[in-house]
Amino acid sequence: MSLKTAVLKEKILSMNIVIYENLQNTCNCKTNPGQIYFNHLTKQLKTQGIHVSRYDVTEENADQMKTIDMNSLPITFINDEIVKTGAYPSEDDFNKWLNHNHPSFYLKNSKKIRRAIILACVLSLIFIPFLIIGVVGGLDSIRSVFHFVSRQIMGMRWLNDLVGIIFTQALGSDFMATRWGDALQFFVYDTIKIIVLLCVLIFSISYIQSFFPPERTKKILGKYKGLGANAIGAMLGVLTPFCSCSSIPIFIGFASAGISSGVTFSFLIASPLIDLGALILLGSTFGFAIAAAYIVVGLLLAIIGGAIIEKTGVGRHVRDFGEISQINDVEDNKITQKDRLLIAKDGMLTTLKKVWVYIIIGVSIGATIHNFIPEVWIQTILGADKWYSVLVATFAGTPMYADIFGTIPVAHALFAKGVGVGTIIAFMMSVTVLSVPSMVMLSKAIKPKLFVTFVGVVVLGIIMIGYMFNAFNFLFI
Amino acid sequence: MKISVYGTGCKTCKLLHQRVLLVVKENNLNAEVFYETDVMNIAKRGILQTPALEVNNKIVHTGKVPKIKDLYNLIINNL
Repeated sequence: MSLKTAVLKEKILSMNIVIYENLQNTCNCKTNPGQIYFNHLTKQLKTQGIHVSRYDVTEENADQMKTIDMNSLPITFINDEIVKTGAYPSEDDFNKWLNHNHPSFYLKNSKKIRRAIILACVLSLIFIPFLIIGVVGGLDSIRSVFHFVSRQIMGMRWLNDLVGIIFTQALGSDFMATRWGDALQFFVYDTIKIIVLLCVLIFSISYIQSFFPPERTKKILGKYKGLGANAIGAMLGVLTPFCSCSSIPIFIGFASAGISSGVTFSFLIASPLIDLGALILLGSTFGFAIAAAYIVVGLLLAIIGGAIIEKTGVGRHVRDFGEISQINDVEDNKITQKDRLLIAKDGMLTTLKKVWVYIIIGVSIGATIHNFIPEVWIQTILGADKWYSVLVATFAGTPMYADIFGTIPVAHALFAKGVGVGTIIAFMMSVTVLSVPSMVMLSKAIKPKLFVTFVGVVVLGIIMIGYMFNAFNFLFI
Repeated sequence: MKISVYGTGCKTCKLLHQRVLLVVKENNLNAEVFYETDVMNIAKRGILQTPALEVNNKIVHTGKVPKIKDLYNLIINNL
Protein backbone atom coordinates (compact mmCIF):
# COMPACT_ATOMS: atom_id res chain seq x y z
CA MET A 1 0.00 0.00 0.00
CA SER A 2 1.46 3.32 -0.99
CA LEU A 3 1.80 6.08 1.54
CA LYS A 4 -0.93 8.09 -0.14
CA THR A 5 -3.55 5.34 0.00
CA ALA A 6 -2.57 4.55 3.56
CA VAL A 7 -3.18 8.15 4.52
CA LEU A 8 -6.51 8.17 2.70
CA LYS A 9 -7.60 4.97 4.36
CA GLU A 10 -6.65 6.38 7.71
CA LYS A 11 -8.77 9.41 6.90
CA ILE A 12 -11.79 7.27 6.10
CA LEU A 13 -11.40 5.14 9.17
CA SER A 14 -11.18 8.24 11.32
CA MET A 15 -14.36 9.65 9.81
CA ASN A 16 -16.96 10.27 12.42
CA ILE A 17 -20.26 8.93 11.10
CA VAL A 18 -23.21 9.64 13.38
CA ILE A 19 -26.86 8.92 12.82
CA TYR A 20 -29.75 10.21 14.89
CA GLU A 21 -32.85 8.11 14.49
CA ASN A 22 -36.15 7.34 16.05
CA LEU A 23 -36.09 3.64 16.84
CA GLN A 24 -39.56 3.60 18.34
CA ASN A 25 -41.51 3.75 15.19
CA THR A 26 -43.90 6.57 14.90
CA CYS A 27 -45.98 4.70 12.43
CA ASN A 28 -47.78 1.57 13.46
CA CYS A 29 -45.85 -0.65 11.17
CA LYS A 30 -43.74 -3.14 13.05
CA THR A 31 -40.57 -2.83 11.10
CA ASN A 32 -39.27 -0.15 8.86
CA PRO A 33 -37.73 -1.71 5.72
CA GLY A 34 -35.24 1.12 5.38
CA GLN A 35 -34.09 0.50 8.91
CA ILE A 36 -33.63 -3.22 8.43
CA TYR A 37 -31.57 -2.56 5.35
CA PHE A 38 -29.52 0.01 7.22
CA ASN A 39 -28.82 -2.45 10.06
CA HIS A 40 -27.43 -4.78 7.45
CA LEU A 41 -25.38 -1.99 5.91
CA THR A 42 -23.78 -0.94 9.19
CA LYS A 43 -22.70 -4.53 9.78
CA GLN A 44 -21.09 -4.57 6.37
CA LEU A 45 -19.31 -1.30 7.05
CA LYS A 46 -18.07 -2.67 10.35
CA THR A 47 -16.31 -5.54 8.58
CA GLN A 48 -14.33 -2.87 6.76
CA GLY A 49 -13.40 -1.10 9.95
CA ILE A 50 -15.86 1.77 9.55
CA HIS A 51 -17.88 2.42 12.64
CA VAL A 52 -21.25 4.11 12.54
CA SER A 53 -22.52 5.61 15.78
CA ARG A 54 -26.27 5.44 16.13
CA TYR A 55 -28.29 7.44 18.62
CA ASP A 56 -31.89 6.81 19.41
CA VAL A 57 -33.59 10.14 20.02
CA THR A 58 -36.33 8.53 22.08
CA GLU A 59 -33.80 7.45 24.67
CA GLU A 60 -33.02 10.30 26.92
CA ASN A 61 -29.43 11.07 26.23
CA ALA A 62 -30.03 14.74 25.99
CA ASP A 63 -26.41 15.75 25.91
CA GLN A 64 -26.02 14.03 22.54
CA MET A 65 -29.03 15.68 21.04
CA LYS A 66 -27.52 19.08 20.37
CA THR A 67 -29.93 20.89 18.15
CA ILE A 68 -31.50 18.58 15.65
CA ASP A 69 -34.71 18.87 13.76
CA MET A 70 -36.94 16.10 15.08
CA ASN A 71 -39.10 16.19 11.96
CA SER A 72 -36.40 15.17 9.54
CA LEU A 73 -35.13 12.04 11.25
CA PRO A 74 -33.06 10.04 10.57
CA ILE A 75 -30.23 12.53 10.20
CA THR A 76 -26.76 11.50 9.16
CA PHE A 77 -23.66 13.46 10.16
CA ILE A 78 -20.16 12.96 8.87
CA ASN A 79 -17.54 14.87 10.86
CA ASP A 80 -20.30 17.05 12.33
CA GLU A 81 -21.64 17.96 8.92
CA ILE A 82 -25.18 17.02 7.88
CA VAL A 83 -25.02 14.84 4.76
CA LYS A 84 -28.50 13.36 4.64
CA THR A 85 -31.83 13.94 6.31
CA GLY A 86 -35.22 12.30 6.19
CA ALA A 87 -34.02 8.87 5.12
CA TYR A 88 -31.42 6.30 5.96
CA PRO A 89 -28.32 6.53 3.79
CA SER A 90 -28.18 3.89 1.09
CA GLU A 91 -25.24 1.86 -0.10
CA ASP A 92 -24.83 4.31 -2.97
CA ASP A 93 -24.66 7.20 -0.53
CA PHE A 94 -21.88 5.53 1.39
CA ASN A 95 -20.05 4.72 -1.80
CA LYS A 96 -20.27 8.36 -2.77
CA TRP A 97 -19.07 9.68 0.56
CA LEU A 98 -16.32 7.15 1.00
CA ASN A 99 -15.29 7.20 -2.60
CA HIS A 100 -15.01 10.95 -2.30
CA ASN A 101 -12.04 10.33 -0.07
CA HIS A 102 -10.55 7.31 -1.66
CA PRO A 103 -11.50 5.87 -5.05
CA SER A 104 -10.84 2.20 -4.30
CA PHE A 105 -12.74 2.09 -1.09
CA TYR A 106 -16.05 0.75 -2.28
CA LEU A 107 -18.47 -1.16 -0.18
CA LYS A 108 -18.20 -4.75 -1.15
CA ASN A 109 -21.38 -6.40 -2.22
CA SER A 110 -21.53 -9.41 0.05
CA LYS A 111 -24.32 -10.98 -2.03
CA LYS A 112 -22.11 -11.10 -5.11
CA ILE A 113 -19.30 -12.69 -3.15
CA ARG A 114 -21.64 -15.32 -1.74
CA ARG A 115 -22.91 -16.10 -5.21
CA ALA A 116 -19.37 -16.42 -6.53
CA ILE A 117 -18.51 -18.84 -3.71
CA ILE A 118 -21.56 -20.99 -4.49
CA LEU A 119 -20.67 -21.01 -8.18
CA ALA A 120 -17.10 -22.00 -7.39
CA CYS A 121 -18.32 -24.84 -5.15
CA VAL A 122 -20.67 -26.16 -7.84
CA LEU A 123 -17.99 -25.98 -10.51
CA SER A 124 -15.44 -27.73 -8.34
CA LEU A 125 -18.00 -30.40 -7.44
CA ILE A 126 -18.39 -31.07 -11.14
CA PHE A 127 -14.71 -31.00 -12.02
CA ILE A 128 -13.14 -32.72 -9.03
CA PRO A 129 -14.65 -36.16 -9.81
CA PHE A 130 -13.34 -35.83 -13.35
CA LEU A 131 -9.92 -34.93 -11.99
CA ILE A 132 -9.92 -37.93 -9.66
CA ILE A 133 -11.05 -40.26 -12.43
CA GLY A 134 -8.43 -38.76 -14.69
CA VAL A 135 -5.64 -39.24 -12.15
CA VAL A 136 -6.68 -42.78 -11.27
CA GLY A 137 -7.65 -44.15 -14.65
CA GLY A 138 -5.90 -41.91 -17.15
CA LEU A 139 -7.35 -40.19 -20.19
CA ASP A 140 -9.22 -43.25 -21.41
CA SER A 141 -11.44 -43.43 -18.38
CA ILE A 142 -12.38 -39.75 -18.74
CA ARG A 143 -13.36 -40.49 -22.31
CA SER A 144 -15.48 -43.44 -21.24
CA VAL A 145 -17.25 -41.31 -18.63
CA PHE A 146 -18.04 -38.72 -21.30
CA HIS A 147 -19.20 -41.52 -23.53
CA PHE A 148 -21.46 -42.84 -20.79
CA VAL A 149 -22.92 -39.38 -20.12
CA SER A 150 -23.54 -38.64 -23.77
CA ARG A 151 -24.98 -42.08 -24.56
CA GLN A 152 -26.97 -42.97 -21.48
CA ILE A 153 -27.86 -39.71 -19.75
CA MET A 154 -28.08 -37.25 -22.63
CA GLY A 155 -28.83 -39.81 -25.33
CA MET A 156 -31.08 -41.86 -23.06
CA ARG A 157 -30.19 -45.15 -24.70
CA TRP A 158 -31.55 -46.95 -21.65
CA LEU A 159 -34.96 -45.53 -22.57
CA ASN A 160 -34.68 -47.05 -26.03
CA ASP A 161 -33.87 -50.42 -24.47
CA LEU A 162 -36.69 -50.04 -21.96
CA VAL A 163 -39.22 -49.15 -24.66
CA GLY A 164 -37.97 -52.14 -26.65
CA ILE A 165 -38.39 -54.50 -23.69
CA ILE A 166 -41.87 -53.22 -22.84
CA PHE A 167 -43.11 -53.58 -26.42
CA THR A 168 -41.56 -57.02 -26.77
CA GLN A 169 -43.37 -58.11 -23.63
CA ALA A 170 -46.66 -56.57 -24.70
CA LEU A 171 -46.74 -57.28 -28.41
CA GLY A 172 -44.41 -60.23 -28.77
CA SER A 173 -40.93 -60.40 -30.24
CA ASP A 174 -42.25 -61.40 -33.68
CA PHE A 175 -44.05 -58.11 -34.11
CA MET A 176 -41.13 -56.11 -32.81
CA ALA A 177 -38.87 -57.68 -35.42
CA THR A 178 -41.02 -56.22 -38.24
CA ARG A 179 -40.58 -52.69 -39.56
CA TRP A 180 -43.82 -51.64 -37.91
CA GLY A 181 -42.48 -52.69 -34.53
CA ASP A 182 -39.23 -50.93 -35.20
CA ALA A 183 -41.05 -47.78 -36.32
CA LEU A 184 -43.19 -47.87 -33.18
CA GLN A 185 -40.13 -48.15 -30.98
CA PHE A 186 -38.42 -45.27 -32.82
CA PHE A 187 -41.55 -43.15 -32.50
CA VAL A 188 -42.14 -43.73 -28.79
CA TYR A 189 -38.48 -43.49 -27.83
CA ASP A 190 -37.81 -40.33 -29.82
CA THR A 191 -40.99 -38.59 -28.67
CA ILE A 192 -40.37 -39.27 -24.98
CA LYS A 193 -36.71 -38.42 -25.24
CA ILE A 194 -37.25 -35.12 -27.02
CA ILE A 195 -40.06 -34.04 -24.73
CA VAL A 196 -38.17 -34.89 -21.53
CA LEU A 197 -34.99 -33.18 -22.71
CA LEU A 198 -37.02 -30.25 -23.97
CA CYS A 199 -38.67 -29.68 -20.60
CA VAL A 200 -35.40 -29.79 -18.68
CA LEU A 201 -33.57 -27.69 -21.23
CA ILE A 202 -36.17 -25.04 -21.91
CA PHE A 203 -36.55 -24.55 -18.18
CA SER A 204 -32.87 -23.88 -17.63
CA ILE A 205 -32.55 -21.90 -20.84
CA SER A 206 -35.53 -19.66 -20.13
CA TYR A 207 -33.88 -18.99 -16.80
CA ILE A 208 -30.67 -17.86 -18.50
CA GLN A 209 -32.64 -15.90 -21.07
CA SER A 210 -34.50 -13.96 -18.40
CA PHE A 211 -31.23 -12.08 -17.95
CA PHE A 212 -31.27 -10.93 -21.58
CA PRO A 213 -34.56 -9.32 -22.61
CA PRO A 214 -34.33 -7.63 -26.04
CA GLU A 215 -34.39 -4.20 -24.37
CA ARG A 216 -31.20 -5.04 -22.53
CA THR A 217 -29.61 -6.60 -25.60
CA LYS A 218 -30.30 -3.37 -27.46
CA LYS A 219 -28.57 -1.41 -24.73
CA ILE A 220 -25.55 -3.72 -24.69
CA LEU A 221 -25.17 -3.76 -28.48
CA GLY A 222 -25.32 0.02 -28.69
CA LYS A 223 -21.96 0.17 -26.94
CA TYR A 224 -19.93 -1.84 -29.43
CA LYS A 225 -18.64 -1.28 -32.95
CA GLY A 226 -16.80 -3.23 -35.64
CA LEU A 227 -16.37 -6.96 -36.05
CA GLY A 228 -16.39 -7.46 -32.29
CA ALA A 229 -19.90 -6.03 -32.27
CA ASN A 230 -20.94 -8.63 -34.85
CA ALA A 231 -19.59 -11.37 -32.61
CA ILE A 232 -21.40 -9.99 -29.57
CA GLY A 233 -24.56 -9.56 -31.66
CA ALA A 234 -24.37 -13.20 -32.74
CA MET A 235 -23.83 -14.42 -29.19
CA LEU A 236 -26.64 -12.31 -27.79
CA GLY A 237 -28.78 -13.67 -30.60
CA VAL A 238 -28.29 -17.08 -29.05
CA LEU A 239 -29.21 -15.84 -25.59
CA THR A 240 -32.08 -13.48 -26.37
CA PRO A 241 -35.47 -15.10 -26.68
CA PHE A 242 -37.65 -13.92 -29.52
CA CYS A 243 -40.05 -15.42 -32.01
CA SER A 244 -40.14 -14.61 -35.71
CA CYS A 245 -43.18 -12.35 -35.24
CA SER A 246 -40.97 -10.02 -33.17
CA SER A 247 -38.23 -9.84 -35.77
CA ILE A 248 -39.45 -6.60 -37.36
CA PRO A 249 -39.93 -4.68 -34.12
CA ILE A 250 -36.49 -5.86 -33.06
CA PHE A 251 -34.98 -4.96 -36.42
CA ILE A 252 -36.46 -1.47 -36.40
CA GLY A 253 -35.77 -0.98 -32.70
CA PHE A 254 -32.11 -1.87 -33.18
CA ALA A 255 -31.76 0.26 -36.29
CA SER A 256 -33.28 3.29 -34.61
CA ALA A 257 -30.97 2.85 -31.62
CA GLY A 258 -28.01 3.37 -33.96
CA ILE A 259 -26.95 -0.27 -33.99
CA SER A 260 -25.38 -0.98 -37.37
CA SER A 261 -27.25 -3.15 -39.86
CA GLY A 262 -24.46 -5.73 -39.86
CA VAL A 263 -24.74 -6.30 -36.13
CA THR A 264 -28.52 -6.51 -36.36
CA PHE A 265 -28.23 -9.13 -39.09
CA SER A 266 -25.66 -11.09 -37.10
CA PHE A 267 -28.24 -11.12 -34.33
CA LEU A 268 -31.10 -12.10 -36.64
CA ILE A 269 -29.13 -14.96 -38.23
CA ALA A 270 -27.76 -16.39 -35.00
CA SER A 271 -30.96 -16.25 -33.02
CA PRO A 272 -32.97 -18.98 -34.76
CA LEU A 273 -29.89 -20.85 -35.94
CA ILE A 274 -28.29 -21.63 -32.64
CA ASP A 275 -30.83 -22.57 -30.08
CA LEU A 276 -29.24 -23.64 -26.81
CA GLY A 277 -31.81 -26.37 -26.23
CA ALA A 278 -31.57 -27.70 -29.73
CA LEU A 279 -27.81 -27.83 -29.40
CA ILE A 280 -27.91 -30.19 -26.47
CA LEU A 281 -30.49 -32.29 -28.26
CA LEU A 282 -28.19 -32.28 -31.27
CA GLY A 283 -25.35 -33.40 -29.05
CA SER A 284 -27.39 -36.20 -27.57
CA THR A 285 -28.33 -37.50 -31.02
CA PHE A 286 -25.11 -37.01 -32.97
CA GLY A 287 -22.44 -36.64 -30.31
CA PHE A 288 -20.90 -33.56 -28.84
CA ALA A 289 -18.18 -33.09 -31.45
CA ILE A 290 -20.84 -32.31 -34.04
CA ALA A 291 -22.79 -30.08 -31.66
CA ALA A 292 -19.67 -28.08 -30.83
CA ALA A 293 -18.79 -27.77 -34.50
CA TYR A 294 -22.36 -26.66 -35.20
CA ILE A 295 -22.06 -23.78 -32.69
CA VAL A 296 -18.74 -22.64 -34.10
CA VAL A 297 -19.80 -22.60 -37.75
CA GLY A 298 -23.22 -21.18 -36.86
CA LEU A 299 -21.63 -18.26 -35.04
CA LEU A 300 -19.15 -17.77 -37.87
CA LEU A 301 -21.98 -17.70 -40.41
CA ALA A 302 -23.80 -15.09 -38.34
CA ILE A 303 -20.71 -12.93 -37.83
CA ILE A 304 -19.44 -13.12 -41.40
CA GLY A 305 -22.93 -12.79 -42.90
CA GLY A 306 -23.57 -9.65 -40.85
CA ALA A 307 -20.16 -8.24 -41.74
CA ILE A 308 -20.68 -8.83 -45.48
CA ILE A 309 -24.06 -7.11 -45.40
CA GLU A 310 -22.51 -4.10 -43.68
CA LYS A 311 -19.24 -3.86 -45.61
CA THR A 312 -20.86 -4.08 -49.05
CA GLY A 313 -23.14 -1.20 -48.12
CA VAL A 314 -26.38 -2.99 -48.94
CA GLY A 315 -27.23 -2.78 -45.25
CA ARG A 316 -28.47 0.77 -45.84
CA HIS A 317 -31.38 -0.44 -47.95
CA VAL A 318 -33.94 -0.53 -45.20
CA ARG A 319 -37.41 0.85 -45.68
CA ASP A 320 -38.29 4.25 -44.34
CA PHE A 321 -39.83 3.81 -40.92
CA GLY A 322 -40.65 7.43 -40.24
CA GLU A 323 -40.58 8.72 -36.71
CA ILE A 324 -39.62 6.11 -34.16
CA SER A 325 -40.23 6.48 -30.48
CA GLN A 326 -36.97 6.59 -28.62
CA ILE A 327 -38.60 7.06 -25.28
CA ASN A 328 -37.39 4.10 -23.36
CA ASP A 329 -40.33 3.86 -21.05
CA VAL A 330 -40.37 0.10 -21.12
CA GLU A 331 -39.43 -0.38 -17.53
CA ASP A 332 -36.23 -2.13 -16.69
CA ASN A 333 -38.06 -3.75 -13.85
CA LYS A 334 -35.95 -5.52 -11.32
CA ILE A 335 -36.84 -9.18 -11.32
CA THR A 336 -36.26 -11.43 -8.38
CA GLN A 337 -35.01 -15.00 -8.32
CA LYS A 338 -38.59 -16.19 -7.87
CA ASP A 339 -39.72 -14.23 -10.93
CA ARG A 340 -36.96 -15.81 -12.99
CA LEU A 341 -38.04 -19.29 -11.96
CA LEU A 342 -41.64 -18.39 -12.84
CA ILE A 343 -40.49 -17.05 -16.21
CA ALA A 344 -38.58 -20.28 -16.74
CA LYS A 345 -41.64 -22.37 -15.94
CA ASP A 346 -43.88 -20.29 -18.21
CA GLY A 347 -41.25 -20.41 -20.94
CA MET A 348 -41.11 -24.18 -20.70
CA LEU A 349 -44.88 -24.58 -20.89
CA THR A 350 -45.42 -22.13 -23.76
CA THR A 351 -42.56 -23.58 -25.79
CA LEU A 352 -43.85 -27.08 -25.21
CA LYS A 353 -47.35 -26.04 -26.28
CA LYS A 354 -45.92 -24.37 -29.36
CA VAL A 355 -43.56 -27.08 -30.56
CA TRP A 356 -45.17 -30.39 -29.62
CA VAL A 357 -46.94 -30.54 -32.97
CA TYR A 358 -43.62 -30.10 -34.78
CA ILE A 359 -42.07 -32.77 -32.61
CA ILE A 360 -44.82 -35.29 -33.38
CA ILE A 361 -44.69 -34.47 -37.11
CA GLY A 362 -40.91 -34.58 -37.09
CA VAL A 363 -40.79 -37.87 -35.23
CA SER A 364 -43.40 -39.38 -37.57
CA ILE A 365 -41.41 -38.38 -40.63
CA GLY A 366 -38.30 -39.65 -38.90
CA ALA A 367 -39.91 -43.00 -38.10
CA THR A 368 -41.13 -43.31 -41.71
CA ILE A 369 -37.69 -42.59 -43.10
CA HIS A 370 -36.14 -44.88 -40.52
CA ASN A 371 -38.19 -47.92 -41.43
CA PHE A 372 -40.14 -47.62 -44.66
CA ILE A 373 -38.16 -45.60 -47.18
CA PRO A 374 -35.54 -47.77 -48.85
CA GLU A 375 -32.00 -46.75 -48.06
CA VAL A 376 -31.17 -46.76 -51.77
CA TRP A 377 -33.59 -43.91 -52.49
CA ILE A 378 -32.17 -41.72 -49.79
CA GLN A 379 -28.64 -42.67 -50.75
CA THR A 380 -29.30 -41.66 -54.37
CA ILE A 381 -30.66 -38.24 -53.46
CA LEU A 382 -28.79 -37.35 -50.31
CA GLY A 383 -25.92 -39.84 -50.11
CA ALA A 384 -22.64 -38.52 -48.75
CA ASP A 385 -20.90 -39.34 -52.03
CA LYS A 386 -23.34 -37.30 -54.14
CA TRP A 387 -22.03 -33.82 -54.82
CA TYR A 388 -25.50 -32.34 -55.13
CA SER A 389 -26.84 -33.69 -51.82
CA VAL A 390 -26.08 -30.49 -49.90
CA LEU A 391 -27.80 -28.35 -52.55
CA VAL A 392 -30.90 -30.53 -52.50
CA ALA A 393 -31.06 -30.43 -48.70
CA THR A 394 -30.57 -26.65 -48.53
CA PHE A 395 -33.13 -25.73 -51.17
CA ALA A 396 -35.66 -28.22 -49.82
CA GLY A 397 -35.24 -26.79 -46.33
CA THR A 398 -35.31 -23.07 -47.14
CA PRO A 399 -39.06 -22.51 -47.63
CA MET A 400 -40.03 -24.89 -44.83
CA TYR A 401 -40.97 -23.60 -41.45
CA ALA A 402 -40.31 -25.86 -38.51
CA ASP A 403 -38.90 -25.62 -35.09
CA ILE A 404 -35.41 -27.02 -34.74
CA PHE A 405 -36.80 -29.57 -32.30
CA GLY A 406 -38.96 -30.95 -35.07
CA THR A 407 -36.05 -31.27 -37.48
CA ILE A 408 -33.89 -33.31 -35.14
CA PRO A 409 -35.78 -36.63 -35.40
CA VAL A 410 -35.78 -36.28 -39.20
CA ALA A 411 -32.06 -35.60 -39.08
CA HIS A 412 -31.62 -38.56 -36.72
CA ALA A 413 -33.33 -40.91 -39.17
CA LEU A 414 -31.41 -39.54 -42.17
CA PHE A 415 -28.17 -39.96 -40.24
CA ALA A 416 -28.98 -43.60 -39.60
CA LYS A 417 -29.51 -44.09 -43.34
CA GLY A 418 -25.98 -42.95 -44.09
CA VAL A 419 -26.63 -39.35 -45.14
CA GLY A 420 -23.58 -37.13 -44.68
CA VAL A 421 -23.33 -34.93 -41.59
CA GLY A 422 -22.88 -31.81 -43.71
CA THR A 423 -26.03 -32.55 -45.70
CA ILE A 424 -28.02 -32.99 -42.50
CA ILE A 425 -26.66 -29.81 -40.94
CA ALA A 426 -27.39 -27.85 -44.13
CA PHE A 427 -30.95 -29.15 -44.02
CA MET A 428 -31.43 -28.25 -40.35
CA MET A 429 -29.94 -24.79 -40.76
CA SER A 430 -31.98 -23.91 -43.82
CA VAL A 431 -35.21 -25.09 -42.20
CA THR A 432 -34.68 -23.09 -39.04
CA VAL A 433 -33.16 -19.83 -40.31
CA LEU A 434 -35.15 -19.22 -43.45
CA SER A 435 -38.80 -19.91 -44.00
CA VAL A 436 -41.56 -18.37 -46.09
CA PRO A 437 -43.37 -16.74 -43.12
CA SER A 438 -40.22 -15.12 -41.74
CA MET A 439 -39.13 -13.94 -45.18
CA VAL A 440 -42.52 -12.31 -45.81
CA MET A 441 -42.19 -10.53 -42.46
CA LEU A 442 -38.68 -9.34 -43.17
CA SER A 443 -39.48 -8.11 -46.69
CA LYS A 444 -41.78 -5.55 -45.07
CA ALA A 445 -38.88 -3.96 -43.23
CA ILE A 446 -36.07 -4.11 -45.76
CA LYS A 447 -35.81 -3.24 -49.46
CA PRO A 448 -35.50 -5.97 -52.13
CA LYS A 449 -31.78 -5.46 -52.66
CA LEU A 450 -30.94 -6.03 -49.02
CA PHE A 451 -33.48 -8.83 -48.81
CA VAL A 452 -31.90 -10.70 -51.71
CA THR A 453 -28.42 -10.17 -50.27
CA PHE A 454 -29.55 -11.44 -46.87
CA VAL A 455 -31.14 -14.60 -48.27
CA GLY A 456 -28.22 -15.12 -50.66
CA VAL A 457 -25.56 -14.77 -47.98
CA VAL A 458 -27.35 -17.15 -45.66
CA VAL A 459 -28.07 -19.79 -48.32
CA LEU A 460 -24.50 -19.64 -49.64
CA GLY A 461 -23.14 -19.87 -46.12
CA ILE A 462 -25.26 -22.90 -45.34
CA ILE A 463 -24.18 -24.63 -48.55
CA MET A 464 -20.52 -23.96 -47.76
CA ILE A 465 -20.95 -25.26 -44.22
CA GLY A 466 -22.64 -28.37 -45.61
CA TYR A 467 -19.76 -29.13 -47.96
CA MET A 468 -17.23 -28.41 -45.25
CA PHE A 469 -18.84 -30.85 -42.83
CA ASN A 470 -19.12 -33.51 -45.52
CA ALA A 471 -15.45 -33.07 -46.37
CA PHE A 472 -14.46 -33.51 -42.74
CA ASN A 473 -17.01 -36.25 -42.15
CA PHE A 474 -14.36 -38.64 -40.89
CA LEU A 475 -13.64 -36.38 -37.91
CA PHE A 476 -17.11 -36.85 -36.45
CA ILE A 477 -18.01 -40.46 -37.05
CA MET B 1 -58.00 6.37 -19.31
CA LYS B 2 -56.50 4.87 -22.44
CA ILE B 3 -55.25 1.30 -22.61
CA SER B 4 -53.56 -0.11 -25.71
CA VAL B 5 -52.61 -3.66 -26.50
CA TYR B 6 -49.85 -4.10 -29.08
CA GLY B 7 -49.54 -7.42 -30.90
CA THR B 8 -49.21 -8.75 -34.40
CA GLY B 9 -52.21 -10.99 -34.04
CA CYS B 10 -50.57 -14.06 -32.62
CA LYS B 11 -52.39 -16.16 -30.06
CA THR B 12 -50.79 -14.57 -27.00
CA CYS B 13 -51.55 -11.05 -28.24
CA LYS B 14 -55.23 -11.89 -28.68
CA LEU B 15 -55.29 -13.45 -25.24
CA LEU B 16 -53.87 -10.27 -23.69
CA HIS B 17 -56.48 -8.19 -25.49
CA GLN B 18 -59.28 -10.41 -24.19
CA ARG B 19 -57.93 -10.29 -20.65
CA VAL B 20 -57.66 -6.51 -20.72
CA LEU B 21 -61.26 -6.25 -21.89
CA LEU B 22 -62.30 -8.62 -19.14
CA VAL B 23 -60.49 -6.70 -16.42
CA VAL B 24 -61.93 -3.39 -17.62
CA LYS B 25 -65.45 -4.80 -17.75
CA GLU B 26 -65.40 -6.67 -14.44
CA ASN B 27 -64.06 -3.72 -12.51
CA ASN B 28 -66.16 -1.12 -14.30
CA LEU B 29 -63.07 0.85 -15.21
CA ASN B 30 -63.63 3.93 -17.27
CA ALA B 31 -61.19 3.04 -20.01
CA GLU B 32 -60.93 2.95 -23.76
CA VAL B 33 -59.16 -0.18 -25.00
CA PHE B 34 -57.25 -0.05 -28.30
CA TYR B 35 -55.73 -2.98 -30.12
CA GLU B 36 -52.81 -2.16 -32.43
CA THR B 37 -51.93 -4.96 -34.85
CA ASP B 38 -49.88 -3.15 -37.47
CA VAL B 39 -46.33 -4.29 -37.09
CA MET B 40 -44.84 -1.01 -38.31
CA ASN B 41 -46.80 0.97 -35.74
CA ILE B 42 -45.71 -1.46 -33.04
CA ALA B 43 -42.10 -1.04 -34.04
CA LYS B 44 -42.46 2.74 -34.20
CA ARG B 45 -43.67 2.76 -30.63
CA GLY B 46 -40.25 1.34 -29.68
CA ILE B 47 -41.59 -2.05 -28.63
CA LEU B 48 -39.24 -5.00 -29.03
CA GLN B 49 -41.36 -7.80 -27.69
CA THR B 50 -45.01 -8.49 -28.30
CA PRO B 51 -47.54 -8.57 -26.75
CA ALA B 52 -47.12 -5.21 -25.07
CA LEU B 53 -49.49 -3.29 -22.82
CA GLU B 54 -49.70 0.49 -22.70
CA VAL B 55 -51.60 2.36 -20.01
CA ASN B 56 -51.92 6.12 -20.36
CA ASN B 57 -49.07 6.36 -22.89
CA LYS B 58 -46.69 4.34 -20.78
CA ILE B 59 -45.57 0.86 -21.73
CA VAL B 60 -46.09 -1.18 -18.60
CA HIS B 61 -45.58 -4.74 -19.75
CA THR B 62 -43.94 -6.57 -22.66
CA GLY B 63 -43.15 -10.07 -23.77
CA LYS B 64 -45.84 -12.17 -22.21
CA VAL B 65 -49.42 -12.30 -21.00
CA PRO B 66 -49.75 -11.45 -17.30
CA LYS B 67 -52.22 -13.32 -15.10
CA ILE B 68 -55.57 -11.57 -14.63
CA LYS B 69 -54.70 -10.52 -11.06
CA ASP B 70 -51.34 -9.11 -12.12
CA LEU B 71 -52.96 -7.42 -15.08
CA TYR B 72 -55.44 -5.71 -12.77
CA ASN B 73 -52.60 -4.41 -10.60
CA LEU B 74 -50.66 -3.26 -13.65
CA ILE B 75 -53.61 -1.23 -14.87
CA ILE B 76 -54.61 0.15 -11.46
CA ASN B 77 -51.05 1.12 -10.51
CA ASN B 78 -50.58 3.04 -13.73
CA LEU B 79 -53.78 5.03 -13.73
